[in-house]
Amino acid sequence: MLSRTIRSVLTKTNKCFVNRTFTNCAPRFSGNALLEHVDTDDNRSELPFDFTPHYWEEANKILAKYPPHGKQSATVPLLDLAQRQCKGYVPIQAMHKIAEICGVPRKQVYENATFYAMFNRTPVGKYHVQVCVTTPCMLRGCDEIMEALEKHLGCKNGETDSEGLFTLGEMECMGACVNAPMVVISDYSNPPNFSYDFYEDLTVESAIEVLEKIRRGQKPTVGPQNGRPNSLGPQGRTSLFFDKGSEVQKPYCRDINAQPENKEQKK
Amino acid sequence: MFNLNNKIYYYSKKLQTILLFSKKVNIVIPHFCYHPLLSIAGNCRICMVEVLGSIKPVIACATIIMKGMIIFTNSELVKCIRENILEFLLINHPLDCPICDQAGECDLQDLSMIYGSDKSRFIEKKKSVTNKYFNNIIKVNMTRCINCTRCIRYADELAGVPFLGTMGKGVNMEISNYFKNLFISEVSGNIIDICPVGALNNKITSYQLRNWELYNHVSIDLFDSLNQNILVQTKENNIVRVLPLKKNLINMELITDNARFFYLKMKKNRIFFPFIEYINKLKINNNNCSWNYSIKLFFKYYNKNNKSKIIFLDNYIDFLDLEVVKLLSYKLKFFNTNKYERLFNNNRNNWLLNIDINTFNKIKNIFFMFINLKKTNSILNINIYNNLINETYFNIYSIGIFNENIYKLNHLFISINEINNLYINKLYNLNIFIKNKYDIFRKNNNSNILNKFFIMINKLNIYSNINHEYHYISETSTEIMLHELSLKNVYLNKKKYNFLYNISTYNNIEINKYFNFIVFQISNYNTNIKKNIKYKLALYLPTKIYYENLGIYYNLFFKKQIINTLVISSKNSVANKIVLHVIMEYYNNFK
Ligand code: SF4
Ligand code: FES
Ligand code: FES
Repeated sequence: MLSRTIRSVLTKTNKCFVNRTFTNCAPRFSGNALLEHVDTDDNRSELPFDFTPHYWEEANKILAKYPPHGKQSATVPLLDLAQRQCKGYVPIQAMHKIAEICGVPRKQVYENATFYAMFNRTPVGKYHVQVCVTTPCMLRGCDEIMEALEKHLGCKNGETDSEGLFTLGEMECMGACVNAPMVVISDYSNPPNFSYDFYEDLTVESAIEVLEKIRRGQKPTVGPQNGRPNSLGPQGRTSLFFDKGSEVQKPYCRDINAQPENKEQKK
Repeated sequence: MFNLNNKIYYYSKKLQTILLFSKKVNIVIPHFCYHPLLSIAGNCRICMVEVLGSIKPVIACATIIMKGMIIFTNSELVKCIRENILEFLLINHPLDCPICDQAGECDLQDLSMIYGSDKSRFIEKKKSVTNKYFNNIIKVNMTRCINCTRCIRYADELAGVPFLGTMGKGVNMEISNYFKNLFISEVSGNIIDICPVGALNNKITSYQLRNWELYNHVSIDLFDSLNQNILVQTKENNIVRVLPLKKNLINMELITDNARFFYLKMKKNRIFFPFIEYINKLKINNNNCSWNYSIKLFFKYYNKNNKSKIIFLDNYIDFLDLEVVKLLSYKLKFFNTNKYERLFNNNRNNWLLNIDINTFNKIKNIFFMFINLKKTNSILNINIYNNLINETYFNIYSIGIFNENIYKLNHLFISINEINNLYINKLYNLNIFIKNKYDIFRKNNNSNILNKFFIMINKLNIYSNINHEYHYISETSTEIMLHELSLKNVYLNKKKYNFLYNISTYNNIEINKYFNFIVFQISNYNTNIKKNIKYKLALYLPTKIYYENLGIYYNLFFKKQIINTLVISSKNSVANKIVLHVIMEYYNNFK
């Protein structure tokens, strides 16, 4: 009896309570995975992990930048290397290896890997498609693009399509708001090479076309898809006329490549 | 000079945060993430105060007082801030105080009584967090967490087991051990007291008690020689919970897990009646008997044959009782023929830690001889670890069996068997004792090794005039008192009658002898003892547990401490003292 009355009162008064979707997710996600680690066949701490010679070379270049007591600064770049080597995700054994290399407690690597949305902790397809969903892109219609891509690929946000080619995901603002809405595609298809490209000024059709081109093996043009150069407005250039013929002078810039002047010569 | 709540205080050059200073002058500023033993994080924001001239309010826990500051801790603005921040904290905090074990001693509950609003303005769903498993004694309820990160800092900075972290970000952030990392430590229980809300709780007392039903008793713990200060809480003549005593210098609001749950051991297999145990070819017969009969039996066997008879006493025997034992030892004529320790016998410095806790924290060079400080005195070990994080010039060496510790040790030798002249040469080559002054910690051990060691140090003294300091770390406070009365700890030889202590740590005793008759004067029956000692007939005399009567104890620093009666015992168990006196009287009569 009591529960019935409470329920009836709740449904009458708090309509938003039912409609809200913002914090609705009971087991919560971060990036494309659960916050907790779940053991799978190729993502277990018992498995061995080591960088391949090519990636060791790069790792050593990164490690050389930091003094011996500051090796922990290399965790994020090394996580990135591991993600490229494992074709799109960082397994737990790689995190443990990185903790060993950088001399930090393991939890510090987990913290980094769960904090940054660009690190995936579960496998993704060959191409990782991430749609920007922050305010400017939202105003320019990212929701429709997301919906269209979900329908086109036949999978939901955070999932991989049936062929294992595309994984759909969300991303926060990537600084290309002038050309909103946009999508970023990271390419893990042929390992040591890796690309991370922005496709901007999308419409529903052009977004699907970009994916189709990739599926056919072509390389779609990077940048705005509606043909405008960079982020030029409709009225053309209104400032920054620094071309050769123009009268406006460039502000002074230091030549970074020039040799430093000799002080004695000055005297 | 600076101004705090319209009062003028003199500015001292010592750096001081607003929160610490206002604590001194009895101004209360609420805080969640600040804890006196941990580093400052400044992420809960409840401690905001108003500083005249600054655009925004500042956090009191991390702001250092400057000259001429004008600070308000109870203005209208501050009150408003606290109300708002509390409202934010409560967005995601479940309203389950009626079933929460922390209720009544929860910081969040107290503050929402003062600053909380009477109705909620939020109609969003609350966030829920998957539960975690830390270990056997910590009950985790992560939905209640307010992300103050105290537990992370405790695990990193004091316990030395960095297993916790903040996973995810923003709304999704949660405290997690991510992978199967467990909290394996001797001091894990303190995380329960350190959590300001009910997210981390005591698993053993869960759903059993309410804070306001309990009686508090100030007491000490006897499971290691530090004699940690504890607050024992009783309910209906039972010990139900143990907490660290606040504001004490020795163990600084931290206690070991052994001390926290000592009462559980004492509740097992309690002996209430004197009884006789007769072992006849793998069969064990137990017969209850009266006190009169048992004492008569004792002397019957005593007179029959003087050989191979032994009395076992509990580990937690107090100073006054030990004096009676000493008297009895003269009457029953047994001698101390212990060979080792003769080197240092008469000086009290040889069985104590010769510094107080403040100077202990300033030691720079440490040398451990056959000690695993992590096991025996975890609180002292934490002190060393905590100093080690802040300062880098520590030299720590150890010899003996290799034991893993939470900090790095320069371990010199693998086993005690290896120790001969060779190792002396090794040390000699290292020259560590010439360069720096070392504090050498040792345990009850072989005179041979110690002799060699001292000869070596004397040799080295020719080159340098450094006087190293020696400290003795005893296992229990009983050991200290035995030294004080010059009674030896384990006394065993063929000739005469024996008393044996340290019965609660049965594993230490290895006696492969066969006894016709044995007397146990203990409070708890333990079957483990039969593995090490073989006997035909045993007489068990029940005694009171140490917290059931008044007792005087001395700790590592030779500080006198008193345990009051915490719990009233049953009629049949009798204090150690009385049994010993009875034995003495009977002995006089028999003669
Ligand atoms: S579990 Fe407790 S101590 Fe740890 S962050 Fe949450 S509230 Fe703070
Ligand atoms: S909002 Fe989409 S790139 Fe900034
Ligand atoms: S106590 Fe100052 S910010 Fe938490």
